[in-house]
Amino acid sequence: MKSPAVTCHAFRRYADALLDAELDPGTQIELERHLAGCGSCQELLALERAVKREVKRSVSETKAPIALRSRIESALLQNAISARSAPPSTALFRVHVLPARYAIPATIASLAAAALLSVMWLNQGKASDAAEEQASTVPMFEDIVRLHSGSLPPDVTSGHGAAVTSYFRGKVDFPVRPAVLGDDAHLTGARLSHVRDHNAAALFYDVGGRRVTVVMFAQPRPQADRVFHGVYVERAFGRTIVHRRIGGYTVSARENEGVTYAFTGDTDEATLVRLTATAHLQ
Amino acid sequence: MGLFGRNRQSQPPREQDELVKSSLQHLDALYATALRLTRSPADAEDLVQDTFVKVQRFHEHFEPGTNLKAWLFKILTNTFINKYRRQTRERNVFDGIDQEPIGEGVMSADSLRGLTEPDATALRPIVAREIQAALDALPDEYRAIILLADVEELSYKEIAEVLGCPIGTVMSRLHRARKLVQKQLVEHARALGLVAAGHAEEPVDIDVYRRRRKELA
Repeated sequence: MKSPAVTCHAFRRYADALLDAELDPGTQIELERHLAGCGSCQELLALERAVKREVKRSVSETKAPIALRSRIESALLQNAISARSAPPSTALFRVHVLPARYAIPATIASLAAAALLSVMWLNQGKASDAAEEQASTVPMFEDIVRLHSGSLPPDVTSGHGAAVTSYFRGKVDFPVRPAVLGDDAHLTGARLSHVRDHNAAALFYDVGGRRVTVVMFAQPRPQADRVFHGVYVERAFGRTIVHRRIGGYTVSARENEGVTYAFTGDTDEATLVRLTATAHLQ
Repeated sequence: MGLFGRNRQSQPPREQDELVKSSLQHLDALYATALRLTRSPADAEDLVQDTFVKVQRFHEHFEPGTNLKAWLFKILTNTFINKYRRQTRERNVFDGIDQEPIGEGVMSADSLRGLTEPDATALRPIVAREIQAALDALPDEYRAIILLADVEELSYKEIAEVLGCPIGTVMSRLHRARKLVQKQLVEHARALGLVAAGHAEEPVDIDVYRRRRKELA
C-alpha cells in the first residue's frame, strides 16, 4: 500500500487478513503502524481475535459420541467389501501425485528462462511485453495443473456424463458436456473450481490407467487471444491446439464454442496433445 | 526427468488402513466441526461418516508427509458444501448475500471492550455462548468459511480450493461473515446489558443480564 496514512476505514477492510497473517509484509507494516495509534481499531482487532479464539475453543471442547467410531468402522468395512467386488475401474491404479512444489516453478523468472528456449509467441509483441504476457499466462496454467495434482477428492464421482452435467448446472455459466476421450478412456468424476477468476469445471478421466484432467471454463471473447501467449501453437488432426510446459506437466488447450478445454495429465506430451486434438467435444 | 504418473498395482490394504487409523485420531475434532457446520448431531454423524468413506476411497490422493488433519477438514467441509449445493438449484445463490450492504460502522472502543475483556469471569461463558449463537445464525457457507479460517486455520489459498472459488471471493466472503458475527454480537450484547453503549464505567450486572435474556427468549 503506497498511500500515506492508513485510515480506519481502510484498516477495517484488511483487519481480517491481518488477523489471519495473510498480508504481504509491506501492507502488514502499514496496518500495524495505524494500529499503534488508534484505540478503536485496536478494540476491533481485539474483538476479532476474541471471536476467533472462542470459535476455536468451542470446537476443541466437543467430543464425538462414543458409538460413532464403531459406526464408522463398520461403514468402512462395508464400503471396502463392496469396492472389492466392483468392476476394476478407478480402484486398480496407484497415482503418483506430484507435490505442488515440483509442478509449479518457484519463480516466474526461472520459467521464463526455460520457456524462452522453446516458445513461439502468438503475436510479435515487443520484448519488454514478454515478461508481462508470461506473467499473465502462467498463473492460469498453474491453476489447471493444481486442479490435476491437488489432493481433494472429486465433488461428484460418476462415469456418467449426464450426472456430471447436472451437477454443474447452475454452478458455472456454460453447459458442461463432458468431452469423450476415446475408447480406452472413461470419466471418473468432477470438481467445481476456478481458473483465475472464472468458474471452472474440472473433469477427471482414466485413460489407459493414467489420470487425465480436463478443465473447462469460458472466457470473454476479447481476452481469448491474450491468454494463450507464450505457448506452442500446433495444428494436429485438423484442429488448432495450444500447449505449453509448466513444471513437469504439459497443458494443452482447445476452444469450442466459447469454452476452453484445458487438458493435463500423467501421460507423455504427444499422447496429451493427441487426446486434446481428437477429443469429441459436444 | 520426466515426472509422469506410473501405473502400479493398488496399494496394499495395510497402507490404506494406516491412513484410516491415523484419521480416526482426529474423530473428535472432525465431529465437533461437523456439529458446528450442520447444527444437528444426526447430520454431523452422517457428515463425518461420509468423510471417512471418502478418506478410504480416495486415500491415494493424500500425500504422505503433508498435513493430514488439514486434508481431512478440507474433505469434511467440501462434502458439506457440496451437499448444500446439491440441494440448491439457484445459480450463484450466495452472490445475493454477498452483495447486500453490511456497512462498516464504527463501534466505540468502550462497547467492544466489554466483549473482549469481560469484567467478571462469570461473564466469559456468557459471551462465549453469544458468539456461538451468532455463528449459528449465519448462512451455511459463511459459517463454513469461518470454521475453515478460525478452527483449521487454512490459508486463503486452501480455503479457495475447498470452496471452489477464487481467493478474492474467499477474502470478501470471510470479511462479510465475520462482520455479520460482530454486528449480531454487539447488538445482542447491548440488548442483553452485556455491554453498555458508550458508558464503559457502568458495571455489568449479571442479574440484569439474566432477566433480560429470559425476556428475549
